[in-house]
Amino acid sequence: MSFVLSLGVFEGDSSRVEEALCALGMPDGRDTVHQFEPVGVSWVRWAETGRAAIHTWPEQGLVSVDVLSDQSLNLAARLASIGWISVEESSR
Amino acid sequence: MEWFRQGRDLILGTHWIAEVVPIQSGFLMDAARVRRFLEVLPETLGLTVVSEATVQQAEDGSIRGVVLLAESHASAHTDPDGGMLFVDLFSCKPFDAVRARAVVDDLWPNSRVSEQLLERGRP
Repeated sequence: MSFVLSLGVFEGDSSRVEEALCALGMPDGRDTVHQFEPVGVSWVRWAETGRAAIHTWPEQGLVSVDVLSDQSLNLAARLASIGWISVEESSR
Repeated sequence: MEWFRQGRDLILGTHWIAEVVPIQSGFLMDAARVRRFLEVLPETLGLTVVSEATVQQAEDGSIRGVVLLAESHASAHTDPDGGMLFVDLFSCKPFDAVRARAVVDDLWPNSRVSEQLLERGRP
């Protein structure tokens, strides 16, 4: 199991989170979602390959993504494929 | 515990990650224990639950659970084959990781535990 954490630049709304989950190779799974008022979303998806937790801070223009997976993955490159610029990535 | 801290422009929160090797492998098939962890952890640390803990067990016995918090999330994942449990807590509100560890020790006594604490934010 590897744990990868990333912080990226976020623009747009919560619909972009689903895009990100697809880019992470987790198009399906069990979701737990909380929409904050007025903005921001927390979204956790358990998929076959592991789990992703995404938190957005639209007011700060930031998103945090962390993935626990049994596969090694280059999070920054996957997020870049949907235009999320990763400002930091670390693995544990 | 290892602490990973860097000078940051904007701090979003602290992420606590623990890998746990319980003394009894049966603990890793015990979904009620995972649920208890997700309920007791926020309560102990004074964090606010926004959506009730979700816990599910796969056919292979592995358990995954998550609870969403106003401050972010906590999750737990057991891997019975690997004999391990993975837990994490991300919170924008400061919390006492020693107390988080105590919750682990209470639910999975005498485990081997490796912990990391990371500052999350804009570099």
